[in-house]
Amino acid sequence: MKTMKGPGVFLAQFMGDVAPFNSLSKICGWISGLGYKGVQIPSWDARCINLELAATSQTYADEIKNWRKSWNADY
Amino acid sequence: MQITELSTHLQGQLVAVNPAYDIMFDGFAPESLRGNPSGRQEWAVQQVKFAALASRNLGLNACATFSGALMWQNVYPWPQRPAGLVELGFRELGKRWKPILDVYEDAGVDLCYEVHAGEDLHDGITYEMFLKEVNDHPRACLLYDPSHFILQCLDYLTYIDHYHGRIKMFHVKDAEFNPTGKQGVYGGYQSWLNRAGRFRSPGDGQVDFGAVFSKLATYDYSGWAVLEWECAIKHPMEGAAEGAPFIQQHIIQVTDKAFDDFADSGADEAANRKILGI
Repeated sequence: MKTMKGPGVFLAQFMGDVAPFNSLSKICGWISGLGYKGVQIPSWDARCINLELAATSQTYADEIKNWRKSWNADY
Repeated sequence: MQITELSTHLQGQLVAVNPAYDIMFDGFAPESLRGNPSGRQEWAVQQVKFAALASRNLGLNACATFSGALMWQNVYPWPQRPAGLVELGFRELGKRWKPILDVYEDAGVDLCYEVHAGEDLHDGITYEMFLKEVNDHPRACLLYDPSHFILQCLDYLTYIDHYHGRIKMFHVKDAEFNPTGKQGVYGGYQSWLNRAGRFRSPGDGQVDFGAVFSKLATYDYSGWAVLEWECAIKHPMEGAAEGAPFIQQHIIQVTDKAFDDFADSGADEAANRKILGI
């Protein structure tokens, strides 16, 4: 048998114009503090991701994958 | 912190829009494409395809979307639906999604339709009609969100029995349905707060999450349990704070042994034969 993963949170309803809701790195810091282990990303929200670039650049995708390391300063 | 999945709900919606909804859905598209339904559709298809490649590059194995709708304005059969309308609608929907699903197949990513009011895929029957049109495409999977089933009085637990093989994503979202002598499923054109059916923070509604998590664990669901927070009453900050422990408490750490192993008397065919008298 398998154990499901979680808790995660869908960011769509929480993104906003003011910090910490206005960037992926900042909102992840906040979400992490609440005990979440994962975020579901609304791909239409440029504050979260550049979808076309993530599709066409492995370098950019890797940067996002390693976000804890690369964006630690924002936490 | 990890990325669970990408979502393409808004772009998927624009893959199929009936002209009756053109104005209201135009806001989902970039400004340059507003008032241009065919350009908007082309953009949406490309976006959903991008999400397949982006998911692959990010090491993700599932992606969320909406099916869009050509027929939702005909969900109630009045005026009488012309013969063949629904069949034609699903044929067109399948035609639009099949090439997208093929991109997901090549990327090794499941595309999970959130079965939802307002979409042509809004229950199990419509999902099955769609599957037929895409030849049971292996990537045409499901995002399970029981809240939408509470609002339409669908049996959200038996649904898992039917479709567990296709459920690859899960939204933890609650809802309640409290019909009165004045309104029911249609909601009387009321606000979310005043509708008989409304979304609630997890634990505040009527979804039996103990049963949901048990069923998903029984069927070996190994994806993420993701809070989708929408509530007509509670403040989002309180909802977010309550969501993580709520989900954590419901996730079942599955067993690696049978509960009655302590009483195991060993496997012995000769003894079994004796027990059966054969």
